[in-house]
Amino acid sequence: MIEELFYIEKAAYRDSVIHQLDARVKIIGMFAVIIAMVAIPYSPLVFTVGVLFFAFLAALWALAGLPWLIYAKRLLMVLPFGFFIIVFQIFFTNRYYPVFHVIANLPFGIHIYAESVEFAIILFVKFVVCVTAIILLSSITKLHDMLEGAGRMGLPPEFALTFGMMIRYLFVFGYIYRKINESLTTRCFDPFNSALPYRYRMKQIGYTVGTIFIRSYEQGERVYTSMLCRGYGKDSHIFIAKKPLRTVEWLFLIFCLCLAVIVPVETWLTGVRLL
Amino acid sequence: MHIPDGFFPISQAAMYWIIALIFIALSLRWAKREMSEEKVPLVAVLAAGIFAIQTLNMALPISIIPGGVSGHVVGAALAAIVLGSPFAAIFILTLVLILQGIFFGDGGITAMGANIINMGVLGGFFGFYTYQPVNNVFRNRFCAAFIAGWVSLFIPAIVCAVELAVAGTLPLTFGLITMGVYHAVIGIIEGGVTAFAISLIIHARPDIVSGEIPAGARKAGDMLIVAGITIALGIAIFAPYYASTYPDGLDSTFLSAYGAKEVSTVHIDESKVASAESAVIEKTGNSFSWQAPLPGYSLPGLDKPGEVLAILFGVIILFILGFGISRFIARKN
Repeated sequence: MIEELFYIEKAAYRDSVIHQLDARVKIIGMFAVIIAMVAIPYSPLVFTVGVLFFAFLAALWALAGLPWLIYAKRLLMVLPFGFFIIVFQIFFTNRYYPVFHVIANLPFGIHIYAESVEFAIILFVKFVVCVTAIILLSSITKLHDMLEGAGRMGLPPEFALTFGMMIRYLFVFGYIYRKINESLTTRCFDPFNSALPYRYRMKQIGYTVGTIFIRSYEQGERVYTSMLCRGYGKDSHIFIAKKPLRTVEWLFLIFCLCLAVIVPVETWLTGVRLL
Repeated sequence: MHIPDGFFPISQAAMYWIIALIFIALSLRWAKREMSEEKVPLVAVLAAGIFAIQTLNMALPISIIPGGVSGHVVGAALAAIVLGSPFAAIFILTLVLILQGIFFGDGGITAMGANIINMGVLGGFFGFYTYQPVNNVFRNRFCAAFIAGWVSLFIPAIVCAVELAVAGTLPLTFGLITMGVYHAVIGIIEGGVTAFAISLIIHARPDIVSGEIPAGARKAGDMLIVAGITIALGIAIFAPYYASTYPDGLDSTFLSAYGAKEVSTVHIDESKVASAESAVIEKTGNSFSWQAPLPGYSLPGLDKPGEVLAILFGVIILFILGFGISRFIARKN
C-alpha cells in the first residue's frame, strides 16, 4: 500500500478545475455522497441511486483529467475483504427479505437464492460507489490540502499537528520501506519462500518490523531536536490561515449536497428503476 | 478486517462512531496528559512507521486457501506495549485508519468508527492487558508479546464478525467460523512478529520501552487475572461436553407443574412443553419473549462447538465489563 502513496500524490498534483477546488468543498461533497449511499436502505432503490452517483463521480474523474487505469488499479487494491463478504452473501438468507427462492442447488445442501444474489449486488453497488468517492477525493486533493481543510473544519489541534507530521514522514518511510525491501531481496530473502523455515522467516520480518519501529522512533527524536532549534515548544500548534470559499466552490458544495439529498428522495418518490 | 462502507446500516455506523469518538476523546486526553512535547513528533513519526509496518506481508503458517494467502501485522499490541498505554495504540491506530480510509479507501468512512473500535480500541486494550499480566507471571517477554499479539488480532476479528452479523450482512455462525479460523492463523504472524520486534527493541533500545517491570517478585494480582482467565476459558471449552442435559431446578419445577415432566423422572414430554408455555402466557397475560442473539448458550446450527463459542464470547464480554468497571471504580477511589 505504501508504494501506492507515491502515485496517489502524483495524481493529486495534477492541475484541473476539480483539483483547484478548496479541500473542504471536496471533503464535504464526497462524504455527503458516501453518507447518502450508506443511508439508503438495502433495497433495489440502491441500483438507480448508485448508477446516478457513479455517473456523477465518473464525470468529476473525467473533468479532473485522471487516467482510468489509476482508478481500476486502486479499486482492485481495496476489493478483497468487501468482495469476500459480498460473494458469500448468495449462499445465505438474511433478514432483509421475507421469502427466499432457490435458483440453484449445490452439493452439501448449499443453495443459491435469488433474493441473496440481489442483496449481494446491492452491497456491491454501495461498496463500489463509496470506494469510488474515496479514490476520487484522494486523487484530486493533496494530503496537506486535505489536512488544512480538515483543520479549518475543526479537527482537534492535537490531531492536526500529529497528523501533519505523520503525513510528512509517510514518504520518508515509503523510501525506507523500499530500501528494506531491496536489501532483503539482495540477501535473497523472500518471506513467501516456503523452502525457508517458517520461524526463520517470521524472525526476519519481526526484526525488520522492530528495525522500522526503532528507526521511526529515532527519526522522531531527531525531528524533535531539529524542531526545537526552530522554536518548537509544547504550546506549538499547526497554523492554518483562514480562507473564504469562492463563489464557484460554494456552488459546487451546494450542488453536491443537493445531489446527495435529492437523488435518493426523488428516486424513492418516483420509483424510477434504471436497472 | 477493514470493514468497507455499505456493510452497516447508517444507524449502526453512527453508533459505532459515537463509541469510537468516546475512545478517541480519551486517547486525546491521554495525549494531552502523557505526551510531553517530545512525544508529539515521536508519536507522529511512529504512526508513519506503523503504517509502513502494516505493508510488510508474509505467507500464512498454515495454507487455508489453495494458492496461498498472506497476512500482515496490525501493530496495535506493539504500539501499546512499547508506549506503555492502550490509549497510545488507539491514538496511533486512529491516525493510521483515517489515512487508510480517506486516502486509500481501505476501510470505509462511515464504517471507520467500527474499524477504530476493532483494531485500535480492542487491539490496543487486549494487547496491552494481555502482555502485562502474562509477562508479570511468566517473566517471559517473548511469550507474553506473542500471546498479546495473537489476542489483539483474534478478539477484534470475532467482534468484527459479530458486528457484521448484527448488521445482517454476514451470518453469525459463518462469520465466526471464517473470521475466527482465518484470524487465529493470521494471529500467529501478528504474535510472532510482535514478539520478535519487542525482543529486538528491548535489546537495541531498552530505554524506549515504557512500563517495563523491573525484575522482582511476581504480582499476586496479575497471577490471579491469568489464573482466572485460564480457568474461565478452560470451563468455556469443556463445559458444553460435560454439562448435564437435564433441566435445572426452576425449569424442572415449571415443567412438572404443567405435566410436561414427572417429578421423580428425568424424561420430558416435548409435546407438552409448548402447551405449558402457552398456559403461562394465558395466566400472566404477558407474551413478551426476548429473542436472545445466542439462545440457550449456543450458536444455531453449530451444536457443541457453537456452545463453546457462545460461552467464550460471554466470558470475553464479562471480562471487558468487569475489568472496565473495576478500573473505573479504582480510579474514582
